[in-house]
Amino acid sequence: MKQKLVEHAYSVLFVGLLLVILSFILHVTGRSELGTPDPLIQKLSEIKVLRPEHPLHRTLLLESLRTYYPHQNMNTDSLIDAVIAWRRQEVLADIDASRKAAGMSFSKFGELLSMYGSFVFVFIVVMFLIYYGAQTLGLFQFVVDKRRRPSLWQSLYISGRVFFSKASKAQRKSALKNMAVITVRAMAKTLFYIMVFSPAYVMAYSFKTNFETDSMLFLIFLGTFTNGVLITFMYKFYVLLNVESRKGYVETAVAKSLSRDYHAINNRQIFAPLKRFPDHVLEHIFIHTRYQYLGSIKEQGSTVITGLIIVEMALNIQGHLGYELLKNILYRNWDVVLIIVFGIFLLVKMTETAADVLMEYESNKYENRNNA
Amino acid sequence: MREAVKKIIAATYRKKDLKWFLVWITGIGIVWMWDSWMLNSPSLIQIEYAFIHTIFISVLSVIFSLLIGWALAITLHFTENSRFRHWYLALTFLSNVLRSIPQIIGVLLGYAVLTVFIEKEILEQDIWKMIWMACVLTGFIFLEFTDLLRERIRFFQKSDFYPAMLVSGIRESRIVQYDILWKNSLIHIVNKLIAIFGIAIFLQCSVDFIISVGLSADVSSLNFPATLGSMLAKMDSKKDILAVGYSLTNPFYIPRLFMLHLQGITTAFLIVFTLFSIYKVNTEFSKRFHL
Repeated sequence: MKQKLVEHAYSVLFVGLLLVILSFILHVTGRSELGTPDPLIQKLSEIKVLRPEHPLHRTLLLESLRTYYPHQNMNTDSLIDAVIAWRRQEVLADIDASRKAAGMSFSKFGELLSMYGSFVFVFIVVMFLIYYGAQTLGLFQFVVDKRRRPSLWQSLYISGRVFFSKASKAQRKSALKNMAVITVRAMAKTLFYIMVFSPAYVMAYSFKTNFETDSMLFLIFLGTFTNGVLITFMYKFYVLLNVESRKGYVETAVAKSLSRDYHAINNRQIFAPLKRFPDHVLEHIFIHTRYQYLGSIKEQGSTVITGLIIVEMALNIQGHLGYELLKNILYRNWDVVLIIVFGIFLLVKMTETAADVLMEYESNKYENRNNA
Repeated sequence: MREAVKKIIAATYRKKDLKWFLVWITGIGIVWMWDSWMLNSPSLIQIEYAFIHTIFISVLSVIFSLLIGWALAITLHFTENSRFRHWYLALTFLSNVLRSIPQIIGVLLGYAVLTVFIEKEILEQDIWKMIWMACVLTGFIFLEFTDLLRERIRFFQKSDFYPAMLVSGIRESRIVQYDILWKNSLIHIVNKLIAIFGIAIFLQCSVDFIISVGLSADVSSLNFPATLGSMLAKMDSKKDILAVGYSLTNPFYIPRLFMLHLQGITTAFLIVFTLFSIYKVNTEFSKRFHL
């Protein structure tokens, strides 16, 4: 355990050092170089009261140029357009320079810290929701498989056959009701799949007309249910459950009179935050699977962060860390970019350390290392 | 003839991964036919290019991941207990650091470098831009492949056949690369590569959508090769997706989505349907081979 902690500390030091070196290399401030314009353009652009975009000013300028330079064969319209373009470039260069000069300061650091705090909060909530959701949905799928009920298509086919047969009116009515229920369930399942496989931005833009999309609640919803994060970890848990259920101790437990009747498991037990299945073999399968799943928490952390950053960046949620990162890459404010990257790296490392500590604690418990 | 067709259909039905692959191809084919009929030609051409580019970049990422992941796994294996152990420690440390960088951050910084290359006119042709995009994606996904290979080698090292082959005088390199990885892990490798293909598509679409705001004042998403992500980021596509939200409260508008808002709907569908189909192919493949 100590070795792992030391390794995490070294990683943080290494990345910190790397980013400091990078910040020295990338430290570029100051006004963008614009070059020198034509002397006449420069002369005209220096007249502060002149606004060549305004039709009146433009006409006056045209007349003046024709009066002052009557013998010169010049395209006065193009010249005025060039003055407008030059002034625009000057303004853009000033904005660019001010953005770069705005780089890192104490107030900026405070702002970043506040954004980081809300990012960490959302991250923790989403982590817990996915941890719970992956286990619950994985378990639900596992129990449904074990019950060996016909699939939705098979059920629809069976009910359809009854409905179109010469069965009694009551039986046909019941079959029709079944078909309606199955169709609704199939539609709900399809919508669920569309939602969990959609990248967050597709989902968010679909909802944008209907909900307040900038709220933290919406961010948590997107972080949890989109980008395929939930389904990935649900499947991981489901695979672990299947592997565990094939192990020898399960047969031994059944021989020792533990139940393996999956019809006896109800949905309330599956969806409960603390899942208990007393006198059932699933209790032990679940405990062992949950222990193995702890190893996936590190991966889950990194994936959740990726998902949240995608949400914040893609939806341009201002005042959030992801958007701030993107904005500062655009403005080439590398100091701010590197600080945000380091903050995110620290969060990943803290998650990994927490996962290692939890794994160690659970290993001590299940492998009886304390008694050794 | 009829029997042969029946046999093929039955075999495809049993091999559900293959079935889902066919579902994917068929779904895309149907959408393409509908779009050829209903969508204007310039938009259709853009979507076709975007789809082909997306698949091309993702396939390249898979190939690069295979090559780099394999090379790293073999290097780590042979340096672990050799006199070059310091290389093993350094490579493991760097791999762990790379693993701790969220993929999207790494890919985004890689794209920022790409914009610098475009600004300085180092990369001008689309093919080189796409190769760079694939390289960036590979840099943050290949470790999954390395981990799988290392896991497989460790698994077989514990069994008797590894030392038995060693004492028979067979080169360790051949045992690891041919007997373990090629002969006994091919299915695992294919399964992982399918998953990597899905991750590459997801990351690529996400980053291309994100950079639609621009990573530089001089370079915009227009300078990048069109992909599904950048197609979706276009204002027209965004409006089309917003229409989906509108139809939630006005269900009678739904039929018009498939005629008036096809650009955005098709792009979003291609992304979601491709990700879903790859997931199904991957999971059914694992189930079929009991991985």
